[in-house]
Amino acid sequence: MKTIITLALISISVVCTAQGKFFTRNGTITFFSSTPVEDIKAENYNATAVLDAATGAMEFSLLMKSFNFKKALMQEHFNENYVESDKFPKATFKGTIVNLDEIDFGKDGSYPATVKGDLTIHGETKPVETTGTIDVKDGKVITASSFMVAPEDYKIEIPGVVRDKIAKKIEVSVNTELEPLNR
Amino acid sequence: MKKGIIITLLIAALAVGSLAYYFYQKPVQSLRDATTELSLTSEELHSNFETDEAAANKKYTGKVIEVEGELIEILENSDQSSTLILSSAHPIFGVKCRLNPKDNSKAIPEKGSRVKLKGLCTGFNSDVELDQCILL
Repeated sequence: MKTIITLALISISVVCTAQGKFFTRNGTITFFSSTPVEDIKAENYNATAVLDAATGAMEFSLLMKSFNFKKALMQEHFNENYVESDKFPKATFKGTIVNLDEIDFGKDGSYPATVKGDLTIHGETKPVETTGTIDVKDGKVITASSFMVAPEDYKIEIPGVVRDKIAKKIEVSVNTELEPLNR
Repeated sequence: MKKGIIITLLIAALAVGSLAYYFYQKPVQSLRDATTELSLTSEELHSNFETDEAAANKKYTGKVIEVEGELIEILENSDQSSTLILSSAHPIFGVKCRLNPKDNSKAIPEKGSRVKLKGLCTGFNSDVELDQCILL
């Protein structure tokens, strides 16, 4: 009887970790703008992400001012003129994994994933759908995805003088390594 | 005489042009020589943001600040830089400080020790965030 109870408890705890929440506070989110005039790249290494394995809900958030540019002037213009970081300090994504039934968070493997949700930048929210991969390894969940974003869609105004230097569509890459949330 | 004016103008244009180019190309500077505007403990900083985020943003965000607190977690980032989490009254969140990978000669202390660092406050995202940090 005792063994059965112990076994039952163990299996419950296994199910719990497999179905629980995963979390990171140092996800990498980069954007890349490519034009014949100039390539511009910015990186944020401290994005926060939460994934609920039971429902497939995903949430990302980051601070615009934590984006790192090579050139000081670009970082300044990005924050002050384009994304207006003082008014809109964060960018967020709230969505769900569409093909949740194809992903086994309890079993190591690489799973293709489709995620659908709302992306908020510069105070503007737009629907986004993207594909990527979810790797389950040693109890961790590693996500990788990239998608294109048009600054115009988020009412980010780019003055004519620099219009040629900034791409109409900017590639956003998201790479996170989430650990089980035990609290 | 006219030649002289043209040459002077050309030199002036060249000087302005190269100065503009210099400012345009200037990389993000290390905070080592930046003046510290505010100095406080990580507990104080986090609780200020939790109480009134808007007021704390006005006071701290965009400023170079010195923070002292207990090192509760060390995170390795994808670019080989490290992020240190300093304690707060909150059970999970605190002050998240990303060290400048190009300007840190000091070794990262062990978890549990008290650390002091200087960084640029970039705002509040459950954790208070500091970027370009230098261990003091």
